[in-house]
Amino acid sequence: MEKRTLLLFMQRILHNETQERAQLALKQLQQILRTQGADADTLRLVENTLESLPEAIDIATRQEFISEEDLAIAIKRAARRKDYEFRMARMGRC
Amino acid sequence: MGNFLDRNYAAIDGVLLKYSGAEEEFTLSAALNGMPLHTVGMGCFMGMKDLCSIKLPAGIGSIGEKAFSGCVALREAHFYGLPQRIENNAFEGCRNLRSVYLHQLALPRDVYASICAGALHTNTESVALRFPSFGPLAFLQSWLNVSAAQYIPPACPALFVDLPESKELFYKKAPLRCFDFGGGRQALPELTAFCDLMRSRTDLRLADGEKENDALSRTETPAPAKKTAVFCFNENDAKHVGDTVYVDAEIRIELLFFQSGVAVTGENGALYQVYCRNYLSDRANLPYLRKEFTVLKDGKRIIDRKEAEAVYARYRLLTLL
Repeated sequence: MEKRTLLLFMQRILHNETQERAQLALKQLQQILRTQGADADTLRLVENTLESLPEAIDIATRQEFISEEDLAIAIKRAARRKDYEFRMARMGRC
Repeated sequence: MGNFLDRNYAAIDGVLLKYSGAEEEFTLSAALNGMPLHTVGMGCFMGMKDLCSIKLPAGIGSIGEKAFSGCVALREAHFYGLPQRIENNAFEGCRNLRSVYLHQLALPRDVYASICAGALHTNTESVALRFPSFGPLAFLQSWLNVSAAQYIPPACPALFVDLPESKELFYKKAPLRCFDFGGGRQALPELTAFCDLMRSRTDLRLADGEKENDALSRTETPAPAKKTAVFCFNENDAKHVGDTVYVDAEIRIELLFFQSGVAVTGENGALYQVYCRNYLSDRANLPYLRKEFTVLKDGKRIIDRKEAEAVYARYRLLTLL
């Protein structure tokens, strides 16, 4: 599957969607891609999106099309959020 | 195989990934733009709160994880094909699911098992498996070759098998005491007994290539049953198999099954059925069950006969003795 087609599908899957439903749909997409023998880059893109779902959904809901750069932004935001959450959790424990 | 993407659908290689419509009754197309669908993907219809009825085409062979999870309004699901795989939590949280219609004939045993495990693993009080497209004999033919345990998964609260005209058939041709099974694992002894009974009735089996109507004509016809009565009584009055409920000084009813629905026989082979209050009370075709008639033990008959007769006459269902 071409990357542009994949991004179109991902945008539609994520658009205005709940995290749980989007997660299941992306997992299904991942399975299909594995069956098709997709390359590692493509699988990583979906995997990373799965790990930064709230941010990816947010971007996909606001835009008609998401690019790899958009997903990279979502992944960075997710990393920042996770880091913040981790630090907050540590503060609580101390 | 191809891709399909539009406002409502997203499908790749025959797998429906997402559906975004908001219909109450939805019939899934067999193909999208020439691409045949074979799988309902994970979470595909998840959380669609307005969905009441779903019809899945013959080509659908697999239902993914949580595909219909949280469809709280879903009341009935139609399978027009042979779903080979239904994930256990495919219908999770469909607490109003009451009927699963299987339109295919001669389902293999593992399909029965997966349908039960998948479709009945819900929080509902009871789910009816309905077989509208084929007759009871053909159904029994396949039923007889499996063990009863396969039909009832441990978590299944109740199983109700409904065959078109089966009751009439069995009353006339083979006076079975009961064709309703309730209560999950607790119903296994009854279900097993039923299977044993059916195995002993060799005249009910279809020979190779025999048509169902021919088989029906050769099945033995028992003495005509006496009148059939339906009584609704308070479920607290009798709770165990073997309990006796007196509904009239002249009628003694021995409880044979008790779990959600009850079947009983009277004396002299007459057939009676007793339903406890609320049993499948929301089934559209049995509205009379909503009536709260109460029959107490110890010979006290407090069923309102006139009211009961009026109700039965109104729905023209059964004759009160």
